[in-house]
Amino acid sequence: MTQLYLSSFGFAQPETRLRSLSLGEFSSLLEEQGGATRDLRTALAPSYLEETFNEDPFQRGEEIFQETPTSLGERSARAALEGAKVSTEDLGLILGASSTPLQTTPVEAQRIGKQLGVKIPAYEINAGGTDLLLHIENLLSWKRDRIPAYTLSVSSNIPTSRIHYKKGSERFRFSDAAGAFLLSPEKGRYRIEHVQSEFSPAEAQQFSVELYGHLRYEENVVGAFLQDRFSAVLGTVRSQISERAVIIESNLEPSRHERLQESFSGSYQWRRFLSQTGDLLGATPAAALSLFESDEEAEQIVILTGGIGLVAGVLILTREGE
Amino acid sequence: MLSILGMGAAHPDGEIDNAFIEGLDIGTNEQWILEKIGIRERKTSLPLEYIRETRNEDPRAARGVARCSTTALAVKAAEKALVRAGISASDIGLLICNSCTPEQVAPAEAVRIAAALGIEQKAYDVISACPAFALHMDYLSNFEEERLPDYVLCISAAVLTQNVNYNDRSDSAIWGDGAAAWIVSPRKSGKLRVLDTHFMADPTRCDAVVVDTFGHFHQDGRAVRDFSVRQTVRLIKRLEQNFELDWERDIFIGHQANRTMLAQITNNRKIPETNHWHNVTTIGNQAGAGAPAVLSEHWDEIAPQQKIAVAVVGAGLSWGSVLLEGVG
Repeated sequence: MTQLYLSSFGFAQPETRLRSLSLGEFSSLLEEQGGATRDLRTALAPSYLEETFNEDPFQRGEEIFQETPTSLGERSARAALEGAKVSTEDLGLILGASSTPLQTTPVEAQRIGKQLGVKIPAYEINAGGTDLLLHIENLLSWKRDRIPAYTLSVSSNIPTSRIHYKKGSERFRFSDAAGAFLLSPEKGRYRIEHVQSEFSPAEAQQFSVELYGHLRYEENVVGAFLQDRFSAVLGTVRSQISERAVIIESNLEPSRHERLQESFSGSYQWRRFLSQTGDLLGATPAAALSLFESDEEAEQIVILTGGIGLVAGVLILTREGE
Repeated sequence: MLSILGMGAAHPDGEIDNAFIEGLDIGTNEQWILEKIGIRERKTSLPLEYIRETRNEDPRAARGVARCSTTALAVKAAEKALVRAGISASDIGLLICNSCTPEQVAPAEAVRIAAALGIEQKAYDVISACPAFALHMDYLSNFEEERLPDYVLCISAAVLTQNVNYNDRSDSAIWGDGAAAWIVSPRKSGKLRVLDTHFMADPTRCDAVVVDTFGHFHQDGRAVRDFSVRQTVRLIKRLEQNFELDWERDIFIGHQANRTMLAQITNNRKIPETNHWHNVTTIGNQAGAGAPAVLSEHWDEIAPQQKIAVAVVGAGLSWGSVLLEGVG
């Protein structure tokens, strides 16, 4: 089986924090909930959001965006390239994904490719909540001679552009971000020990974005699905997880996270950041590394992630020597 | 070696002929359309009275009046492909889809199709618009064969008439709606075996063809036309150099962009009309569904040892080819 390494990663968020905006009842409720600790970010222009609450998500002039999936994706991609001291000329493939694209054609991978100035295969592999995991899973299944020296994998999403800030629990959960992985079959900071993702199309409508509508997220169904699948998937990979592993999970609400932790006993170090960053959709694995890479105990990192699809997956990384 | 076991295609019943477009009074007529792009009719999911009255100035309204969706067409095409392959939906181990007009932006179109067919397996989108047939086949050929399930369902579907501004004379005459599906296996032999796949892109030119998620299709027509002809000729030449192609026996299928463009290509490569399969004249440009829909239409005519060269180009900008051979 092909060996694959995570050479580097990049993570990018918009500058604007939702808690800094005047959004009426939403701002008050965010503060009551300890909003200062939930650092939700938006790619939308503050003036647009404060005036309209994004009630009609079809207002699509360039002036309403401070950032786009492409600009965030480009920033995360450049951070990943710089992190590995790899030039754009060394790239052989871009795999992209977005659950909130502003254009369906060209796909996000191609728009990011344009920003990077590369003439290489670039296309979309979109798996919703596990974009980055699926990209890795794909490469690990490919013939060795089909895997380029460096593949850029990017998931970039701006869910706040699909949220109505006058109603719904979704407005308290989601945040805009892009994550990028630079993957190589030759070397990298992390060796990929295992990756796995599971899909449940029958339940997909519980977490969806209408073409001409707002984002819908049914916590009862999606949360239960993720808790159940995370628990099952951990059970199947238990023998591969070191007792000193750091397990990062950031999709579940606190009570579900606690139950998951109880169901998988051991001396593992658990980390979560949902209450800090919000739900970052496909960028979550890159955010996890960005937040916890300096964790000295993290010789082995286990990332659980999932969402739109409905999908759930696990990524196990082992730190390589310098 | 990959094989294609079955194919299916589906198109809506609605039909836009050149007289209808001429009647929109947007500065075009049947003669101009036939000379420039050679399309006589296109299939549409929209009621003609809606197009006539609104010109689809606000594509949001199109979704409300459309008689079928991307997902519905894709499911129909998939069901036909399954029948031809002699398998059922429960045999499918992976579903991949390409669409530039998804019914929702999330989850992926493949997920909705899987749910409609009752497939509880991996389902995700693999997208590069018009060259989808080449992308999907090249993507699957990347895999170690033991890492693929016995049966993979590939789909390309689009309802681009729902994204056309019918005040634009060029775009009005080009687009049709359609879906194509094909079953691929790394282990089971089928009617077609895959001899070669190729896919490439130049993202620096990706703005030449754009479909806004909320809006209309638009493209730099001249640049895209020149690119399409030049690149398709290169793709065919590459296949001619690497394989023994005999255009008196073998078949060419190009991207169903427009008939005039296809004629330029076949003239360049001296491909006789009898060995050039196409459907753009009666269905319109169905984006990534076009070339596989043509192959599906001719499924029963494929002869043993006959090679079929599919060369497709489009948004991205991206391009690719697949060389197939009939199995006797």
